[in-house]
Amino acid sequence: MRKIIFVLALVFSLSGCVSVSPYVLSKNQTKLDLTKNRGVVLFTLKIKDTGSTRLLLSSFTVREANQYKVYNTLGSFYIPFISENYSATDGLYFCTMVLNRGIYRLDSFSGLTNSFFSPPYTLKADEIFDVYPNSINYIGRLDFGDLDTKMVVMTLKGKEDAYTKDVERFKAIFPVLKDKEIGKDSFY
Amino acid sequence: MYLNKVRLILLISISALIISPLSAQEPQNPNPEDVKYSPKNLVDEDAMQAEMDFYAGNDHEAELIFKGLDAKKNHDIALWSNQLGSLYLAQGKTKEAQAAFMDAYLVMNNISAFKDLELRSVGLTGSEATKAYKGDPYEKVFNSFYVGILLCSDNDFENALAAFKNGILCDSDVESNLYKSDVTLLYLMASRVEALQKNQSMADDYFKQAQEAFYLSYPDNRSLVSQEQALLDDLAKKQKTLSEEEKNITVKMDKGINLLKADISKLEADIKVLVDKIQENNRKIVISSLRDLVNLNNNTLLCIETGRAPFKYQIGSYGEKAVFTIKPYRATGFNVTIDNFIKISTGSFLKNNDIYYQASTRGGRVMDSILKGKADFKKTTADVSGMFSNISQVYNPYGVFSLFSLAAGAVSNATNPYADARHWSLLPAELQVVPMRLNPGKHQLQIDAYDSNGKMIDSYKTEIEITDSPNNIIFKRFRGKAL
Repeated sequence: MRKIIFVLALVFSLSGCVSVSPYVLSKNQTKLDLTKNRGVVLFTLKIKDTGSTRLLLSSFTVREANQYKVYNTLGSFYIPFISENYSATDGLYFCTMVLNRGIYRLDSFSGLTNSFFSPPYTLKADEIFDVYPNSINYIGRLDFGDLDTKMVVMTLKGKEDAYTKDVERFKAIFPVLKDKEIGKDSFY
Repeated sequence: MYLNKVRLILLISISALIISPLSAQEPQNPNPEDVKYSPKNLVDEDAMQAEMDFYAGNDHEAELIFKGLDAKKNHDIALWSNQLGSLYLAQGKTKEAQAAFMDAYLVMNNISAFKDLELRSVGLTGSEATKAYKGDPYEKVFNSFYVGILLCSDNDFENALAAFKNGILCDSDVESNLYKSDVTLLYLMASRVEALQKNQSMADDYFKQAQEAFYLSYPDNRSLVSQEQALLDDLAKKQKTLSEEEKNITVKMDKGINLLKADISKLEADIKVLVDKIQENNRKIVISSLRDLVNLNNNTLLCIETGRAPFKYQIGSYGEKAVFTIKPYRATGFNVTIDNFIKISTGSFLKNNDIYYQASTRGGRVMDSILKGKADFKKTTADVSGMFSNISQVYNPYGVFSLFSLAAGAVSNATNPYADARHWSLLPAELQVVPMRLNPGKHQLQIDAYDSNGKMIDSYKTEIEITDSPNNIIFKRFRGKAL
């Protein structure tokens, strides 16, 4: 019995250890390997919570968009949100992606609201962006407006360029970006 | 004597056979670049690297990849040739560009080319992407335009005119009537070539059509034209229903028919309002830039290509739909200076040759309904497979229902509804043409690009040589990385 409990404890502790996604930057990261045609893309997401209801986003989906590949072989990536992504004071999510060079489609964001019976909530983006090799680029801020608790799906309200403000915050949140040059690009 | 000669020849031959391997050169190591970019070592997926290299300004790599893919002579040859043509044009290699565009032209306009692949692609298990790339109507239009204008610069007017006419024909191959024939540039170039060939009445006809096309695609009119097209589609549907119902009923004055007639009258009135608004806009549109382009005193046409091509990608549960989007480009205005003192104002630029607008207003294709049918079939077979799987798990594990489930699942997996997303991604987003009169000889050309706030963001200087030809065509591409 002790052995079983030990194995279970080991499994749970190890699963926590390996949960860091290779597709995002983390707060504790000290090195950034952008060899082998990898690049970093940064963007922010803004959604305004209504009253006491708050949206807790857990992940977002990115799909490869490549005309030269067969559709069912295109890569699809589930990118998790980690605690440092969110700034409650201004309702901003700081999103990072570490992907291979190419063109991608930011499909949707998934999460739950903090209400009692909370169905899964989706923010639909459908935005195309580029990943350039060996470079870090900020591509803009996605604005979803006010959280609508009567719906379970919301669509994008607008996009804006908040390069100066956002990049400063990204550098503060992710120390690995501190001394790096961050270029400016845009969603399609 | 005769035997001596034979002996001598034999002796020389044997000696040559012995000596030749010694004097032969050692086989050289092949150039690693040649190996890497040889057709047999390249796959279609490498084209994405070439595309990104092109927009990053790394033309050498991009050229090697597209040349290697083009040399494969496979069913995508027209796509590779078009990409290569745009690359050469951006490098100022007009002869190579003309040859590449012509290669693509021959495939894109040949109905029987790769016919067997097209038949296979409409089957349930065939993918649309397996058929030969022949391009969407907007791609055929711009391929014809480039072939025409490059032939024009060689003073091959007859073939240039044939290419422009072909482009005009491709432009009419769209679903919605109002978007037919709205590529102003083709009509203007056809008018110019007719005038050069002294066919003034034909030149005037093409100019009138160019004016109509310019009005239709003018930014102020686009939303009105789109609304008018929607109302016209609705009107056509209602008129068809009315004529069918009138044939079938016995009592003529039926209530439903009266309602339909009232709807049709309202639609006609709404269309009239839109047409009046469009005509009011047309009166304000200045068309002097159109006249400048067909004016034969202007012996030089500077073509400024900007931004990135419309991007085509798949959406839908099974990727059965293809849609377009565009990456915004920062430069919105240009200033042209000749010999450091002649400034050409933007008012005389022919603008609004917006390729994204052309790509996104081409309407649905026959293939779209085939793909929708395939997606529906895939969904149904997947649902059936799921249903049998559930039944077999409850009532009869490993039995006949499992086999049905597997069979339906296999059919679902084999069905191929994915839309074809292949597109000419090295095309520019917009083309601005500046007609000018320059004396033969060498000139300094400077083009400055400005953003929407009037801030200069890019500048290009070069020396150009103007000949005594009536058509000196100069291309300059501003590809930029976006904002």
